[in-house]
Amino acid sequence: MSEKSLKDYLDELPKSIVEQIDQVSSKMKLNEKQKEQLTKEVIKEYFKSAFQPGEAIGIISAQSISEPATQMTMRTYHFAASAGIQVTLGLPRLIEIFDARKEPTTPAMTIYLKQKYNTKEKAEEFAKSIKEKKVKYFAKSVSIDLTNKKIKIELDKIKKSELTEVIEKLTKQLKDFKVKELTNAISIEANQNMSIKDLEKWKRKILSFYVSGIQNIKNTAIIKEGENWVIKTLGSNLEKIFQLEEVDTTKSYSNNIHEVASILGIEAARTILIKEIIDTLKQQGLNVDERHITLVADIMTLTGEIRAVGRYGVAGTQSSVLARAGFEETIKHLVKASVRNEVDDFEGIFDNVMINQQVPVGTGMFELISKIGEE
Amino acid sequence: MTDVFFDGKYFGSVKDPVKLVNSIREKRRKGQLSDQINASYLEHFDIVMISTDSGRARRPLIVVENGKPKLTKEHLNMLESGKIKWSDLISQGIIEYLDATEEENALIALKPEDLTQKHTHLELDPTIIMGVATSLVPFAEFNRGDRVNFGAKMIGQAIGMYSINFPVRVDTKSNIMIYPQVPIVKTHMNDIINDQDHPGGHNVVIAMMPFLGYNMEDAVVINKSSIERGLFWSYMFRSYEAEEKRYLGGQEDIIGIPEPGIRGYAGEDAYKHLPEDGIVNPETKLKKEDVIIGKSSPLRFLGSLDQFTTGLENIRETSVRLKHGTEGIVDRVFITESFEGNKLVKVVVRDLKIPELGDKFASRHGQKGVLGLIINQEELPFTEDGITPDIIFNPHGIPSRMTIGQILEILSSKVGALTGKRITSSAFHPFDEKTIRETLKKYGFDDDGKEFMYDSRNGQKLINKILIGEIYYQKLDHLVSNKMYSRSKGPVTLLTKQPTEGKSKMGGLRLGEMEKDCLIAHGASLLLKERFDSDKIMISICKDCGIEAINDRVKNKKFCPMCGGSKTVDIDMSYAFKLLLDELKSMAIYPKIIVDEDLGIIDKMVFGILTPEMIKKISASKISKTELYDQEGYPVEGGLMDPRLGVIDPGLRCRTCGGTVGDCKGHFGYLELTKPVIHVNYAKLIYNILRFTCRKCNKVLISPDDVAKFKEGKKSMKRLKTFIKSTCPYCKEKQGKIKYIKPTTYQEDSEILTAVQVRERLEKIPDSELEYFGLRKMRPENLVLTLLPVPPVTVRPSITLETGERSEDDLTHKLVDIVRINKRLRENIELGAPDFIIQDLWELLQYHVATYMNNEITGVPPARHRSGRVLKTLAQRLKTKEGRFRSNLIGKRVNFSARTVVSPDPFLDINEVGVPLSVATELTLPVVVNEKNIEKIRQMIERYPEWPTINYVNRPDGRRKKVTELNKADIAKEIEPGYIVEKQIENGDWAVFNRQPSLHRMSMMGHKVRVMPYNTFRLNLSVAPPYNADFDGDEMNLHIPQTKEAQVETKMLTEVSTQFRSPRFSSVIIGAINDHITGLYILTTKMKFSRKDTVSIVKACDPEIQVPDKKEFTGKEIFSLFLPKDFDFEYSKGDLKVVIENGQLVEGIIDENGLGAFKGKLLDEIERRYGGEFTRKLLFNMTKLSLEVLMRYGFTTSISDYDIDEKIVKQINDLLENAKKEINDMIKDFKKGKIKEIVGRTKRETFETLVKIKLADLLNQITTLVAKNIKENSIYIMAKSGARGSLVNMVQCIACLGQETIRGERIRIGYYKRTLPHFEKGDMSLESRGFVRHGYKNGLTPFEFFFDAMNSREGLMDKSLKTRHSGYLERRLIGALKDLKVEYDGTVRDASKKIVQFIAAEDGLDPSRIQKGGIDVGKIAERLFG
Repeated sequence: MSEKSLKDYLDELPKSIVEQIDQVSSKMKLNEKQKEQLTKEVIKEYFKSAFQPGEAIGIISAQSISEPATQMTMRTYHFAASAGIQVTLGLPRLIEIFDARKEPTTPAMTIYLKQKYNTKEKAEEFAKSIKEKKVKYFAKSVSIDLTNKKIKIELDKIKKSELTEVIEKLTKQLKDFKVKELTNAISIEANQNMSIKDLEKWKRKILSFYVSGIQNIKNTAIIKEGENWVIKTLGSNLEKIFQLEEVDTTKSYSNNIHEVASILGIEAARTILIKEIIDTLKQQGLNVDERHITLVADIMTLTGEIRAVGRYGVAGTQSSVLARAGFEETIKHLVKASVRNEVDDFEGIFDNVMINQQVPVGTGMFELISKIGEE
Repeated sequence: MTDVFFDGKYFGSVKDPVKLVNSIREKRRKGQLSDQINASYLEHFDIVMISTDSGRARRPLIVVENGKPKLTKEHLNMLESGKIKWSDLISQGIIEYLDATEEENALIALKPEDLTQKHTHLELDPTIIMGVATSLVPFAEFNRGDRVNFGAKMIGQAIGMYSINFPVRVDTKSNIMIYPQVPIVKTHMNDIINDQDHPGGHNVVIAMMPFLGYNMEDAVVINKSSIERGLFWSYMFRSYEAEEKRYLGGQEDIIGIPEPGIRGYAGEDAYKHLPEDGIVNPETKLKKEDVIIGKSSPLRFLGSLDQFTTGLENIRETSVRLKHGTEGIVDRVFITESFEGNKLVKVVVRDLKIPELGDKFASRHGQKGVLGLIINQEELPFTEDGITPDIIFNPHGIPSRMTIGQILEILSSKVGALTGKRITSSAFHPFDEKTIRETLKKYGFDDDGKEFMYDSRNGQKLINKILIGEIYYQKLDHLVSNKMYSRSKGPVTLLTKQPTEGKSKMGGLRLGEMEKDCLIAHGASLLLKERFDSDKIMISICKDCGIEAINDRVKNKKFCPMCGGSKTVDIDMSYAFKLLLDELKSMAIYPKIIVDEDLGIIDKMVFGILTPEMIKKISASKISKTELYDQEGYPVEGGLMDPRLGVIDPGLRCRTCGGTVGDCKGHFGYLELTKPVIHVNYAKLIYNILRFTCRKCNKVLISPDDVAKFKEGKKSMKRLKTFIKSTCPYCKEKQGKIKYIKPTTYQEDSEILTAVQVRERLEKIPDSELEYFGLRKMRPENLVLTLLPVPPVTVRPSITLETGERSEDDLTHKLVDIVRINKRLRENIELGAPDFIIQDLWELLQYHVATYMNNEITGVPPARHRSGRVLKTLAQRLKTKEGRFRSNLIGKRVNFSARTVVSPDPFLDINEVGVPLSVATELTLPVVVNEKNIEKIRQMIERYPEWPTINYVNRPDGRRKKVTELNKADIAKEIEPGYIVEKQIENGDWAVFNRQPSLHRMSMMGHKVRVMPYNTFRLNLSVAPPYNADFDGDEMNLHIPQTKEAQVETKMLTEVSTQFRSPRFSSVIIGAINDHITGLYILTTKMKFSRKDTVSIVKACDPEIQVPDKKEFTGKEIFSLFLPKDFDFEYSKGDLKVVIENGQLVEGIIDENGLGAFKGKLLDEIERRYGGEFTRKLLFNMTKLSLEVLMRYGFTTSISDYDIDEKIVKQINDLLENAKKEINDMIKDFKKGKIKEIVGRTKRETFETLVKIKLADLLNQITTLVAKNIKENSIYIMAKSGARGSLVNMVQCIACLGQETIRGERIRIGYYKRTLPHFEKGDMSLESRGFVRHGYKNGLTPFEFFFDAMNSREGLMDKSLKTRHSGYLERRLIGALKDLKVEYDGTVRDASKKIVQFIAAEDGLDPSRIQKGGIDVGKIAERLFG
């Protein structure tokens, strides 16, 4: 094999394998000829193991993911010993990921800190500081004065600066109320005409007013991961977190795929998607080849935005009218197709199955080009 | 003040609730108030509840006062002597019934010893926590909760003597066991329910050992001689009845031999065994579909004149026949009178059911299994006393299910048999292990019931002792003979022309969506096409109009009804699709088919809307009459069953095309609607058009400046709305406000727009404006219907009932309504009726047309049938799982399929499937007769009916003839080359084998047929894992591909050897399981054999292997004999290292990680190196080897395997005690509030977490203790080798179960602040929160048992919930990914050729062709240069 053709062959191999060949060659100190021999052998092996054209890779991936899903647990186990943040796991989480919900049931972030903040004390301090604090957090007691239509909140452990901020915010938000600052307390006077029921409602609203920390971060926990102190949070707010000085933005992430997509872009979302699926499966002790998962992630992120696996996502936007009608919302798709003069070109699988024509996968992918003439 | 509720209603309030409640109770106990009253004070709600109503669950308890139970010994004595009765105890207030609410106020003691001053009641007996059925399980507290549940369920399915008067009963179906026995080991409940009068099983001698693999995965082996002695024989009775019904007009049915000449007369032969009265005689043998009662009935049409004529042609044969697929002997005949005074005949047919392969058996411990082998007594192992077992049960069934109760039953039955006494072992009053073991010893047996046994094949003693004893076994009402089923070709449904459903109707099996996915995953497109051919038809399509052409058989030409042209193309398609096209047309959707003329296939399909002109053109008749049939019962011309609309009755010809049923595919008709009607499906669209266009100039209300802006972005209605002006930018007309009232009414400024007005407006909209709405190539006015397409009768066939009455399709019913109202509306208009009447009728017409299109419109009451059933109209026919799409198009019932129970056969090759002879005689393959095979085929025909023969012969002219014994000689002579015969399947033919749910492509694999006796499909155990099959009654489907292409695909793409590697995880999925693994483990650990034994073992597995000349062989050496000589391999897993050099196992033990399915590293490597075919052979031989070894080894399990040293028991107890103490301290701390919260949790959560950590730690300690001290016994071997069970199972049996949880938490639910009324409120202790400190071997206490049952139940519910969710997930994933495939350029693209991945799977490697992780370059380099 000449130098050139070897290179040609190498072009056909995926990068990762070429790299492996180089690595092994240098490690075993192979000469050029041996390297060539090795490459040939690898190429032989590669083509033996490569996908064959026509392989219904989509269905195989779908089956490979859903088959083990039958073995997953429905309930979300809470591990006795783990003091960390408890997130949804098992089948519900998997379904949630494929559904591409705007907000996961348990949004969570994993925050890595920059090197100089990577100590236990600093991490703890940071964890404390980002936790969302609401008025409720500072309130010692709340009382409603029904005769004067007043809500009085006794405050505790609040700093002076925070207090003024709270007052400011409350005044801004509560236009119909008079907000007064007392010593370590706030008094909010409502309109005299307000009903008691509404007053109760307002009380709850006021208590859940955001004061400090980072919004949506309900809870934090610190875990040592190898060398690093990692902060796990319940609740997610990547945008705000990434603005903080301490955060290592190259590593930190959220399990909210939509959030990741809007802040870091679709490629990052795809990576998180793959990671979340793999983690969920692994946690259940299930063994699924990564190749299947990347395929699902690819189809979900193909258009540049996240599409769910389901009637409003990938399955609902496929080109074949018949396949769409056969999936879900039959009538809707037929009606739409009929007024829009849509065309089903029978390039898909299900549409061909329906008329019982040869499906264009596997052995059905090729056709005879020339007709044998009659003699 | 406390509110008082009486029977759930507010009654008043009271100051001292406790006093009120107490006084009620006092009076109740004194008998001053009814004993049915319950009163309780619920402090957490601060209310008093007094209940007297019915339907409350109540239970009896002994009243306790001052810590003393009121029930005394005296009472018991009096009860026993009959001086007092139960009711006396109640009236005296000694025992009272509490309902669930009153239990809130009680504190109940379980045993008299536990009583304290605080207790208010005492439990009668802990056994009453179980119901009648569950109480029948002996040693229940020694089994895991779910097994007790299964056991109780299966007792109900057992065939026994369900009633003693069965000879005079006429049940539709019943089973009677012939020699039932009462169990040696019983419970109290057996006595209470008088079980001795209706027992349901046999006491059998059971040996706990593997038997050559025939009892793997729950199958059982039964002694043939035992069966011949009458073991598990039963009769199945089925009753048939016929009534001489009288009809209006004096006609009546006649029971008797039908006269020749009547409709449906089956020939003299069919009635030959009927005596004169037409009712079979008792003791007549019946087969196939023999006539039981001869009967003929008058034909009847609604309103027909026929009723006055009595000609033979007006009488139909309606004889009662034996159910399809059954046989039997007439047992009893009853002739009596029905309620109306008609003659009523009931015939009971009996069928003797002798146990056969595939029948289902079960013990009372939830251990069910199918009969896997019936073997001669001479071939069974025997004990020193010469006893052979009746049943051989596999020890691998025990460890993972933890049914210690089953072992205890075996042992105590043995004690019972030895002592001659029946043994009672109710829950919580067990016949204790100590007594069992001591008694066995006393009688000279081992205390664990094990005995030496001898292998009868060579007379050698098995190396180890085997557990042998007795056990009560049941035959369950799941007999193969009732389940086995096959169909080649057969009846089809009228509507879809697809095979019918159900065994009794000769239906085909369903190749559903998931099965179709599997075939696609294999890439077997022609196999799929062949399978889905079950409703294949040929249709002519007009090349221009894309619409079905009429094939005029009279003029013998094809022409398009739309354009009249004769350029048509013939296309093959499934009938259901043609039906779909008609259904679409009925909804006014125009599915235009564009054909590829060269290939004769459909190229494209364009969707559009049918215009009134089109409807008129494609119609064969105008519908105007409301009647369907005339007085003679013939369809009325111009009616909805117009003969020009097609034919559905055999013998008639279509008036349009002259075709008969089958030839004529039906023709449309049309109905001229008196007034136009809105098409509901498009109502929303019409609304949008109306409100967005000008009412005067009919342009879209968008200013010219905005047009470009709108066209830039997404063209959604929502977005368009933002551009809409309220005055027309063109003609400045002020627009009215259009309101849409669902479903079909529009209002403009509170004035209703009629459909005529709507249509007018739509007509005026210029074509150019339509694109705003996304409309293309259609006119919106066509969405307001003026003509209604009337679908052909083939789309809505009517069925003739047994009585001769016609039952019309739902669509016809709906159409009749439409025609009727339409007519009435016209008449009223013509008569000049008042406006409101016309308006009402118009609305009614609108309603009918709307519900005809879609009967599930929100806000509209659905149209109903006379019986109140909601009608299934057009939209409903297509929608959902049962709709056309999912039920008939992407999954359908198929021909040449069979289904039956599966059973194991270790001596069948891995790629074979054992097919019952009766299935093989039904299923056929087409064979074209040629010069070379004609002789062979002649012989086959002459051999009829002996397998393998020919079932049908097809002449080249299309005539089909069944081969019978009478005509076989003639047919054999007649055939010549060109004939196609239907040959019964033979050994070596290809079949696709399938088990549902078909979750991955390995759920459908190609097997070679091997025809065998009995009624089960048999499969090698190594393919059980990919199918996820076991042998506890599973059924599987078999398909016989008919075309050569499909057969080749079956062999090349789906055959078992090609499927070794799972695409999911890149490792083998076919491999060794249970017995195989244990056997290999034992063989490669410690076995040694003499040369003689070695030769006999090896030759039994593979006669080609040469055994070297050597005196003694180690297990490793024997194992190595099977390995290829050039095989070098090394792997390690944990601390186990396996080294193979030059085909010799040098080091290590072969376990799950060697040859096991899923994990087998050795198998993985061999598959990669030598390919699937080789691996298959090797695995087949090795599994045989391991089974042979295991047989000689004497593998068993008994109670002694769960013994552990006394010292360890003490250590475990100490651990438990310590943990309990610590937790009690924690509770004290918690109650004092001394607990420190974990970040983000409440104190209680923190406490619970700490307890959980503590308990997890405790269980870990116990586990290590047990692991360290367990002997190397069989359960240990099974767990260690990975064959069955785990360390957790062992600990749970031997030591302690640990904490039971519900939703991951300690058990909390139940009563207010406590789990059970036996604990004090606020009790947080371990025992009250579901901690189980006993293991199954020691038996659970009542509380523990209850909590264990709760946990088990949660598990069962979880399982059923999960399957639903994951099933839907699967469907969605398939829906999203189905079109992705690898193209020739290596990219992954979807159906529209969009690239999804540039290199498939990023590195182009197929996970089902690589070892885990991909290509290891280092390994290759080592091989080359290392």
